[in-house]
Amino acid sequence: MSVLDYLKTRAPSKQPGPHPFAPPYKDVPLTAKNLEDIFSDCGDLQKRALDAGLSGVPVTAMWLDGIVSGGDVSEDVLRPLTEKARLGGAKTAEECAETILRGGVYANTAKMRTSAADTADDMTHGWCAVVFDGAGIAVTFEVRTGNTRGIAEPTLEKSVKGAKDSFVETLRINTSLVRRRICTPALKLKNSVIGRKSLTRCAVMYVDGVADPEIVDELTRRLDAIDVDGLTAAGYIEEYICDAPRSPLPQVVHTERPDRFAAQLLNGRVGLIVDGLSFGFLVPASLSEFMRVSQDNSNNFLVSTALSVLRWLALLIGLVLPAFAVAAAMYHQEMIPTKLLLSIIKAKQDVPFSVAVEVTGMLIAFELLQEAGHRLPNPVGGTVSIIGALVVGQSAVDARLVSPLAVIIVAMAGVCGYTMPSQDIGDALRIGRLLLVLSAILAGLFGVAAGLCLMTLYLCSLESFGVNYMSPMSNGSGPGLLRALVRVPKAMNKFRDPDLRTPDRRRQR
Amino acid sequence: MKKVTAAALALSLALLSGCSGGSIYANYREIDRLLIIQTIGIDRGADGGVVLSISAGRLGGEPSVCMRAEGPSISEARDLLQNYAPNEVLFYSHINCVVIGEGAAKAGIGKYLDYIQRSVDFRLDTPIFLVKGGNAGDLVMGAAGESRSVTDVLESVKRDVEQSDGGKVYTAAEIAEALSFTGAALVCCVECAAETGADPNAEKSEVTAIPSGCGILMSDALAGYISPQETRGLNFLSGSTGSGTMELSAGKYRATVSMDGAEASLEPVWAEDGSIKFINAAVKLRAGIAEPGYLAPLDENCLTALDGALADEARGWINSALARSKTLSADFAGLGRALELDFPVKYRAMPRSFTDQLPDIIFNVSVTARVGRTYDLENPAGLPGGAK
Amino acid sequence: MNGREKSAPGRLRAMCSMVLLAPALRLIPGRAAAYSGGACWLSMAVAAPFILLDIWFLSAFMKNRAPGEGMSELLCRALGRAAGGAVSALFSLWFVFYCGFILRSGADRFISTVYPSSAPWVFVGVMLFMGLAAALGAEKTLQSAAAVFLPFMAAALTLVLILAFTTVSAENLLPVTAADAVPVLKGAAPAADVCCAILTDACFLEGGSVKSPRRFRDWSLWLIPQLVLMLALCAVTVGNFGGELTAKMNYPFFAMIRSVRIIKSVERIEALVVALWVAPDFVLVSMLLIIASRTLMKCAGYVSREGGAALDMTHGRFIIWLCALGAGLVSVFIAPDSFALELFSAKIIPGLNIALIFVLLPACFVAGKIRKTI
Repeated sequence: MSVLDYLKTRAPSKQPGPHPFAPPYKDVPLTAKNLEDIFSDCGDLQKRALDAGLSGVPVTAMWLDGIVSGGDVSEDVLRPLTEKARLGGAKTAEECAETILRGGVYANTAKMRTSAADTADDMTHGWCAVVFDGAGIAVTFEVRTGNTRGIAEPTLEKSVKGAKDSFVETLRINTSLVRRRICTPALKLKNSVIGRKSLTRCAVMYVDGVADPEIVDELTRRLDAIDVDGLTAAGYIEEYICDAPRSPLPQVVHTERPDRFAAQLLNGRVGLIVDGLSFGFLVPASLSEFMRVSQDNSNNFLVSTALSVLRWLALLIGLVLPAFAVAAAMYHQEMIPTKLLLSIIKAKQDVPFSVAVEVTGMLIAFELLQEAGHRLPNPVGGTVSIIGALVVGQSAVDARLVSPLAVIIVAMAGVCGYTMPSQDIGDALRIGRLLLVLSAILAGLFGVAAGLCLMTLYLCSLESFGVNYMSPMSNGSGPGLLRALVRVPKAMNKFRDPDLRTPDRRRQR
Repeated sequence: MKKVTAAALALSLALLSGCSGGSIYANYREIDRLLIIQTIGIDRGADGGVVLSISAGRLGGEPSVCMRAEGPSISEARDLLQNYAPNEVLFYSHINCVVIGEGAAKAGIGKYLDYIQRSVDFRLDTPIFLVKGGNAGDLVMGAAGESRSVTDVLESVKRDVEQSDGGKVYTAAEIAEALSFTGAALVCCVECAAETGADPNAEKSEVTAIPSGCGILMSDALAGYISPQETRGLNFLSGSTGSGTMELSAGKYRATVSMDGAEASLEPVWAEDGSIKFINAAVKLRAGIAEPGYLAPLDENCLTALDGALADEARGWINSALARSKTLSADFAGLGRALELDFPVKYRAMPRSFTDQLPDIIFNVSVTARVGRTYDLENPAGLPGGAK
Repeated sequence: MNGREKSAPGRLRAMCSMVLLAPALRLIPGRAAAYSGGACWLSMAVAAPFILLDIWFLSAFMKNRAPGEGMSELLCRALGRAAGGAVSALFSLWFVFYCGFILRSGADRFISTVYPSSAPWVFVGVMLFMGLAAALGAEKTLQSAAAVFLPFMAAALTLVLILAFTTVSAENLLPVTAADAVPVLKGAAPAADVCCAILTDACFLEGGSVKSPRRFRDWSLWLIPQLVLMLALCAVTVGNFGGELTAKMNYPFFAMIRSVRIIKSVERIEALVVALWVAPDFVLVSMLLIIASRTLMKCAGYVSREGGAALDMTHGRFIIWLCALGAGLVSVFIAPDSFALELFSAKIIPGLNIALIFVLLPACFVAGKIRKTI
């Protein structure tokens, strides 16, 4: 059974309340002692026993140090509790709690809790709990610390004319960045919690009336079917919600730019933001979406179109050039211009390896250098990569281990791979490139063509939430390829992408 | 389905591997072992076989490699040549020129054209040269030198013929097509000549090729030649002059003119039975003075005289070429096709083929020439009141 | 969650455009030049009325189809389950046979043009497995893939034709007179044969497409660029070589490609162009396997299921493997030498095509109309 089938058959077992699944302390009565037991061996647990109100109702304030703002706890929770007059003549715990909820305490968000599990859940998310022991109730206040990473410039998706903010690791900040751009109540936010132990919050965002409701429901269903301990990396989300988790190709768009995220929501896509991850996910995805950059919307349409064509050309060149060179050098030397062929023959005179071994070896060396560059620290990594490439490449040519042609071919293909807007596509490109080189070694251009046909067939078999991965090119309509390549002037772009099946297709008058 | 795609790829790779006989891998050639053949020469062997000579391409500064072998057929001669180069693979797919010796042409080039059409290596647009009065092998082997090869020589000839004379070096496809349509075709001729200015200390003088008109093929065998002048005349008749020069002399007036262009038309006069009685060929030539041979003002008299001289010269060439065509009853000039294009209905209604009628057709050739341009100087420099 | 809608008709037409390229190159311009000489380029235009007539006939046949019905279902309706099933099975066997022939002739093309030292079985084997991979998947996937291939093929062909056009000699194409009428008409036969065969094949796949209310108009418009392409192929090839030389060659188009130069630097691109033809061959072989297997499945009473595991033989999927095996066997035994292959290409395949498309199918239509079942 495939992963997706497994997820489809698995019935989500959601519990009422914020917990996705029932914790072991589900039925424990709500007392300060029980909460202490729940958080036993948690060195960051803090508590203050107080007498609240004129009648001195005993309460215990509890919080987890580090994830709450100490100042907010002091000023907004403890101080009002200790100001006797603030709570009036509340005599019982219930009256006290009622008065607190009605504004007796300053904190902007307060909730009444009646179970230890819900109270513990709030505490782990940066809330302060005021427990009324005898009554078995608690009031929790959101006093989350502001010590999170600030909004910074995007690191991967740079833009000259676009906005300079990017997503951070805090869910609510991220949703606010999107909310600022789509100031309508139609921007819906469906909260969800994933992970038995991590209790990671995530939000499905979509524009009501624009997004296909079936896609929204399907995404929600797939999220609900995830039953893991924790959600700490993007792969957990992507592999669980995509249609073909074993495919090396990305099937979920991710972006660190709120402007791009918002634009795609307005196009009809459905977004997902996860607490702890500094990017947003968008579905459905298609290859053409991975080839777009947010800069395209800022530049003149002709410039954007030219750059888009260049990117697609780079994709083809990066995928096919090494295989084409190997095929031409091994089987189809008649295609090489005479002077170039004579030059190649001369250059390869003392090289002991065949073209196939040269190109394959250089490709592997290129991948090794690339991986090494990722592992090295930032100040050193770039320099070492460049020197490594230069030294290795130059030395290899001087030592007659490889011919200059192989170095040039592999370098060009590598550079073309780097122009891919999506790192995931670039990674998949590397695998495809190697497979095509193997086909070229065995069968020349016939092998390359056969490999490309099979790859295309595979790409066309992929779907992302019901949308073909190769759309709009696979639609069979004339404008399909043009829609992928050309950035239409804004005034003429009146309709949304038909592949997304939006209920409201018109974008502008 | 995705598993099957992967399985198909894996199986395909297995099938394509060298493990299976007759695989695609059998077509693999090591690139650094290739010897790039750019020109081949074909001569008739002693027993009616083929003497194949080849010239391999070279980078600047390197001597070219030439070889010759005789065999019963081109394929067998190729195999023999391969034996002479055991460390290299002779690669024929970059052939630029095919040279055929006179002896081979007289015996018939049909089988060579057939070989070119059939072979995967050859291109049908490969230009064919005929060596007048000599062997292809002598040219191929003799033109190889320290600084050039026969390919360089023949490419230079091709440029010369096309640009200067407005002619063309006929390709294998054109010759085959002409032979099938009219039974006659032209093939560009060259003559071997010792290169002037060759190093007197060299062991052997280098041979070069000089354009020498065209050879006439009838039913694929060589039937005769037309001179370079007659070839130019035929070019004028087809409306092409190139940018070559002509020496004109009319009494006291002499000049070297550079050809600018030509227009030609053919007007047949039909007999009552539908056959062609006359063909009126009208040619208009335009030229400009490149070098005046007579230091005198270029007045109207001079230009008129030069016009007449140019027209006479051209008319003579055209008539001479047409006379050849009539004598051999060979429509190598392609007149029949030109007439068919303009008068399709009448042409196809003729009682006899154009080739059969050719000896009886009277050609009235009229040539008008205009030596118009004198470039920057209206008068020769140095004369009073001359240069501006 | 799979794509909810059926395949758009545009995808089917895109697939048909791709599929046309393989037999078009085999038959046109060589065969057309053999019949009509230098005027063969006109044959493409002359073929148009005949093809339009076939489109009209097929549109009339498919007019009352219910959603999800293709030609095989209509045949069963027209003739009754038994007779209709027998005719459908006959068509399936024909598709398997034709698939085997395509595999063999495609291999011959590769060997004749680019890979002279190879045996045909490598090409046959690879193509067959590729076709099997596609046939085991969804029809929509193959149609999508064809729609992706098409613009690239069109761009490459356009570039090649433009470059080859620069060396065309008008004398090889003209003049055309009334005396050429009958030869031109004869020369239209290959084009009509190829187009009508593809149009008929498309009818078997229409069950998976949304029904188009203007079928005749849509397919007529589809025909225009195909005829323009075939006309250009003929004109450029014959314009370069003349009618007689073109008729002698096995693959005149590729012989012409050998002479194409790009900016006097890049030459001998025939290997590249021949490799491009892997895509049309692949789409054609896959399409034939899909049609044959789906039709046989329906005749045997199986309800076909889109997609599925590779070795899943349930729901009649073993028939796909059987069809592939059949096609492979046909390709092995059909033509021991090039003369036999030429005989099949020139006479047997077109003859069988004519019998099925222009005799059997109209007879079924008439029978259906008489029985008032379609």
